[in-house]
Amino acid sequence: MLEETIQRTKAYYCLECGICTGSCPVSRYHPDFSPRLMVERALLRAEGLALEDREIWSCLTCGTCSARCPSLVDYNEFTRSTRVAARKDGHPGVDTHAGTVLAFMELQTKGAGERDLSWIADDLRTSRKGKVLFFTGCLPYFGVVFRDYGVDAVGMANSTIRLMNAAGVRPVVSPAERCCGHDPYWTGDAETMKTLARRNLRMIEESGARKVVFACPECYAMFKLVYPDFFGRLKFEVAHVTEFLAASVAKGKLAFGEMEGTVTYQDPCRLGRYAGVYDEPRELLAAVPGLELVEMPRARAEALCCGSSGWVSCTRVNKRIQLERLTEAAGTGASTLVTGCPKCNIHLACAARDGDIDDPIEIRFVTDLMAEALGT
Amino acid sequence: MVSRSGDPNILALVCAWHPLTAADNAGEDGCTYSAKATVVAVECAGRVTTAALLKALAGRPDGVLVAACGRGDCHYSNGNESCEKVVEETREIMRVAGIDPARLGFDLSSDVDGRRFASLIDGFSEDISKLNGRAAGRARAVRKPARTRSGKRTTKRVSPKKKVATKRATGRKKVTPKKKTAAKRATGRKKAAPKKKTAAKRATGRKKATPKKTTAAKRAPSTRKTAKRATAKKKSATKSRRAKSTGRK
Repeated sequence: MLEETIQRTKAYYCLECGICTGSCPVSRYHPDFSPRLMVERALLRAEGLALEDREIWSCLTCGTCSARCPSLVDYNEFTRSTRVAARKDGHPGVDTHAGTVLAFMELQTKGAGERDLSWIADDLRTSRKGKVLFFTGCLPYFGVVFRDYGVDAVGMANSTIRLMNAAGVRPVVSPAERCCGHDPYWTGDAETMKTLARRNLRMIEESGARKVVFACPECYAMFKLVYPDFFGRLKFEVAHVTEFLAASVAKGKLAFGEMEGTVTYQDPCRLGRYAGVYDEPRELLAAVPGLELVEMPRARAEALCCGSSGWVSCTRVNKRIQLERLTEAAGTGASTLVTGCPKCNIHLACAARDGDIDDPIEIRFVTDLMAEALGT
Repeated sequence: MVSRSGDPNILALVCAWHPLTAADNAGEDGCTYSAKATVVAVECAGRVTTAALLKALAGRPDGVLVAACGRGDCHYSNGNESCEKVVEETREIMRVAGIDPARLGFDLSSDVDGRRFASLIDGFSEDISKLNGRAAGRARAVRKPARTRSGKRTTKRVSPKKKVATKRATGRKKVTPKKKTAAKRATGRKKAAPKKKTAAKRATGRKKATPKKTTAAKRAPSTRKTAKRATAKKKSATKSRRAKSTGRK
């Protein structure tokens, strides 16, 4: 089972230099976790050891090791496909949030009906058919599950629509939309992802959209990088909301009012290291007069992960990564940490409310901040 | 309590303390309730998570019922109250997912009367039947304009069997008295209903049907089972616990 994984990810190129383990945010706090050892076990063809290893579920798939590996070994894909094999072998991961998040994703493959769209604010304009579609992803679900964490995920979706309206676009929001399948895919359940993807592609085709805009970078990365592998070239363009809005600003369709403050920006791994979008979010923040952007020491491709992904690992180690990032953000002197990903927002907000650091920095999703700058 | 072949599939998650004792007593008293209700005991209602309920819903039952002990009577101090919150959260998620939240029932009671338990199951079953009827009506109403609006794709997706079934249903609506159509409409959800019927018919017709199917077909004519039979298996397991529980009461 592992042979194919080794061939596909070019794990046989590993020089055992240890750069991966040295750069890994998990290894820093959890010495038992080592990307180098994981690959080593596979190369020694110790299949049982590799699949039963609980640590394959500790990987954040943040991509720092892949980005730095001199032999260009694809560790993320290595982790993912080992997880597929481990799941088949009867060693699944332990789901966080008591499995609720992965369960509602699975529910969307069967049983779920037409999505409720009553969360859309009354003053916003959306349509059923049109050229531009807003893919809301799991935001309405997160709105229910993460309300107690002080995260308003429905507000994030609403502020995205508000900004699109301000840019002169009336986006399609479809009740037939499903989860993009990112989390099932990265936790080794490709079948659920494929079922969800087929429904989404059919929904987009029926809506007649030529461009799909995402608030969540994970949905965006799935459409941009993974769906084409399974379903061929997409018949529509994809854009993250920051790309879409930055283009609108450049064309003069969107302008912001003055807003005082200093902010710093968290590069989400899916938007940055995976999809290579670094400049657009910064251009967008720079379009607000009076708003100053200061960078953290580790930014862009070097950015530190928000500490959790795929809803399979949330331990002491993850918390320490999150606290490290929050401390780093506060060290810049910024009053607000702007995230480009709703999930980074959820994870960092969770760590901030635990009370381990005094007076944590304010965390906001990029569209929430930008919609406020519109002055509406 | 009238027996009907169109009873909906119900999953009842029952706390092993008061509600399961009630289910047991229903058996002892010879009460009857819908045979389509599957009673599953859980150690405490507090053990039922949102994920468990969502996974149960993904199995596409017509309804899920959670029965917990009454307020202040939880053996583990507050399992019933935390279950109440879980049910509330699950209903909200169901609303987002487009599943009627009324398909998730919740009962808080320390009453160990068997008749009450039987009527609880039957009452919920009846509510779900009504929902199924409404959903089937909505599906018909939605399907009609869709077919005329975008011809090709919709006609492709609706299989000929289903078409015949819906035509038959609407055709008979005028001829047969109200009750019969109601029962027909009530059979399961819109897509599952016609398939199930044919499967049952096929099973009785052919001798070579798999053992599972034949037992299903044999059972099919009598849709009511006595509660006694349903809970017989659990009896021995819960005997000692029941003694404890009733002794305490």
